[in-house]
Amino acid sequence: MSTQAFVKVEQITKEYGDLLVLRDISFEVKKGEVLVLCGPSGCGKSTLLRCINGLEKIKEGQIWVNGMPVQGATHKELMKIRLMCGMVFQSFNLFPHMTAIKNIMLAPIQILKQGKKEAEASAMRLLEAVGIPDKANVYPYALSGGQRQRLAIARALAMKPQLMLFDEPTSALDPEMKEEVLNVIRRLHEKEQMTMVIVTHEVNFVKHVASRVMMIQDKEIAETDDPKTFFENPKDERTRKFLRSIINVQ
Amino acid sequence: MTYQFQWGVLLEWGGYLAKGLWYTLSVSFWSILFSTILGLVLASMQLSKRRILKTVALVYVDVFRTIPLLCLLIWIHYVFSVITGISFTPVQSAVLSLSLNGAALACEAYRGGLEAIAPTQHQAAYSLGFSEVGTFRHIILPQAFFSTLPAITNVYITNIKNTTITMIVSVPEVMFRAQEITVQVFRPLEMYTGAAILYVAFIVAFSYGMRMIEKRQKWQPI
Repeated sequence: MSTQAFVKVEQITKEYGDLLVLRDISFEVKKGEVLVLCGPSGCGKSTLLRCINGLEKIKEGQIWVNGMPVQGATHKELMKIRLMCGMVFQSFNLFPHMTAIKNIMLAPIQILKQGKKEAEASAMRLLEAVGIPDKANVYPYALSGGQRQRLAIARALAMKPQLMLFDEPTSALDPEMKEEVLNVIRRLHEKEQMTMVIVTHEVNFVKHVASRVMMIQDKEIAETDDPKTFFENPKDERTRKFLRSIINVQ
Repeated sequence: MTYQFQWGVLLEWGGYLAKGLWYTLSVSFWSILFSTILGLVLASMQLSKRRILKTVALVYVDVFRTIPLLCLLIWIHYVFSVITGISFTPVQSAVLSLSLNGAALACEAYRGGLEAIAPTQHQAAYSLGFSEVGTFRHIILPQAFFSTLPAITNVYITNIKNTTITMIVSVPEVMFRAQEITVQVFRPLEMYTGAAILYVAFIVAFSYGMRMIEKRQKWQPI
């Protein structure tokens, strides 16, 4: 494999019982790249994302994260892989029984064995970075949607991942809150050159941030392009149809 | 009403009766403790992916939820010792049978609470690098604790009330003493009324304490 590819996906097939979800998917994500996954709902893009950090098991093929095979990984290896991949979910999945800062500190203390003070200081820096330092001692229920998602991003970043996986990070948010979350992601790209795989349909965001856009349709990759070509001159008829539908909606 | 109440006997014997509360209390305490621990283990076994663990826990619940407590107590106190030669004191038999029975009931309450935690919480924990055990301990259990409290309080109260059955193996708790005094002074109505008051007082205090714990939950589910 190429030394630069941080994620390499090779001919994977995924099934839920008898239902085929993904067929023969292959692609690579290089260090510092931002890959955006697009496609109609139910096409398997979220599933694909969750295969990368082993939350879902694939049937055939192999995925490598930083050279480590995901399929067939032992428990320990899988945990190492997950430490390299931060994940942000559509529904935030914060821990409701902990304050914002405790949400961030839990994994660094328990998994990375950081001291409490050290974890607290870096959690505070992360809260500042995502713009909610005043919410440190607030429980998630009292945060707005946008704040919740920014907290979820901070929680993932606390583990110092080398790759961030975003699963429709803004689709559960009101329009005015989308922007604050997208800005955080944008900064991650611009300031830290974070490697990211993002499932999103935010056209403007994709145009500015994505290195490549990958369209998934009918369980396979319909096309992969740079964002300019993807939006202005898509090759695949299905992509054109899909773009018309999302741009009309927006 | 032809019966002449003589509440004076309660003044005379009330202290002796109330001392039975100590046995009620300690048998309840130990059986609640053991049934909580065993119930939690059983509930996590039922939710485990390993079929053998699941089956063992399911069979356990089916067996110990269905044997009437009185039957279980007599069996442990008399039959078990005949079969194995190991004999228990009345209090040991009482704690053992109440724990075995209580664990089956507690297991069901915990399973409900644990299952109510959204699977997305597991995914979030796994994606941060937590193992299954770590996820259970830090993320699932603390959340299930509060949601389970109302149901588990019922289980505990049942457990406390069930201690009355242990009089059959001569644990000198409140009911045993009420009967004992009655035989001597022939004042059953006063003695059993006194016993009922003691139980009500104890259990009301207990459920008030549990409600205080419930109120300590500062967060809300989202």
